[in-house]
Amino acid sequence: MPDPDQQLVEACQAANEQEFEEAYRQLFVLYQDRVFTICLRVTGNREDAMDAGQETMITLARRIRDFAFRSRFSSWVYRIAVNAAIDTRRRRLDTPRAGIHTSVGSAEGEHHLSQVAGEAESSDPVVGVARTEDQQLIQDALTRLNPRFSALLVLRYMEGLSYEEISEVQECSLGTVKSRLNRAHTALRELLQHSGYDPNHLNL
Amino acid sequence: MTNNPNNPELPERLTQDLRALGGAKAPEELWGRVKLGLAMGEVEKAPEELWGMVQLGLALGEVEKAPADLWSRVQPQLAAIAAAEGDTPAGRVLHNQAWGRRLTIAAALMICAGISYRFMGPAPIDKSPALAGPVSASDRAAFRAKVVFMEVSATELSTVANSFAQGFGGITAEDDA
Repeated sequence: MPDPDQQLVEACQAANEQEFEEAYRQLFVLYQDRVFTICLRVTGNREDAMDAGQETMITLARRIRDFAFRSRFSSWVYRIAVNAAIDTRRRRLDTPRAGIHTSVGSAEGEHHLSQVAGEAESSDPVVGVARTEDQQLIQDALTRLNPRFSALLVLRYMEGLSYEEISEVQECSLGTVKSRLNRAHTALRELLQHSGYDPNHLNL
Repeated sequence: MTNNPNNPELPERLTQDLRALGGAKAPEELWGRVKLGLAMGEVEKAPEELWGMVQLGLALGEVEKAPADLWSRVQPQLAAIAAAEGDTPAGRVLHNQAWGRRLTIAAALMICAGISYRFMGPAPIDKSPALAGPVSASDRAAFRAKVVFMEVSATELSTVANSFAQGFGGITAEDDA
């Protein structure tokens, strides 16, 4: 099955220096929102999402000539975006931005969650993208989860990827995806139980 | 989407809330930042000749090794400096390598002589004032046969050195007189 992006990618690969910007702009427009969503939900704030999104798009542009269609182009884009978002979030843990505060989360609950990222992690609220209080609580939980789990949940639920597609993005087996996703579900539910999220919404 | 009964999905409401967080709009300025980043990246690209420059630097590093004759060039200058600093009598002695060697050899000889006499002498010297008499000529000859012997005129030695010599059974300046 041909890659739906093959034509656009090949146009970039064949473009000379003058033509490249125009060819790449089309791919950029196609992927900018998906990339930004991943970066925004994994990092938890707009500024870091912009940094990670920029890094993703620049990496794509620089390496697109080497892409050989051994996987779907979209999987490659998602992989670069996930890695950039996780790296940005980890860098932010080392050097937090001034004025950022931890917006949500019960300290008692956090101590009991082995799969939750470090307590020092901070996030500034993502204004205007979480429409309800519950969604805001979920966003806060995502920024406290292990970033690999956050990325997995974003790919699965926000981008709607199948297990097979996720396994291609993460370059691991289907079984590993299922197992990791299961652990991500458990960690998210545990976090939400201590966050004020409606407990009725946590029952299967 | 693939569903697996062994891997229960999240509750329906939670799943809906998660999905609702998707579809964020990338800000307009993202393209501008990417364009700028790519343009800057081109400027920052390492020049093709970088490896050649590194290789040249590595090769030059070998020339920077100290030449084998460096010490022979430095030594005369050190001697000149030592001579300039050696205007005082103490300085002359301290900065004169020949004198330093002589002093070291003399001290070593005296220590060896003392140790040898203590352990290999004919008989322990009785320290009792009543019994201690002058050292006989035969004892002196036996001692001289057993240790490294270097004859020095008593008048060439200082008071302290004469005292040492006397302690070891040597002829003192007074004996000479």
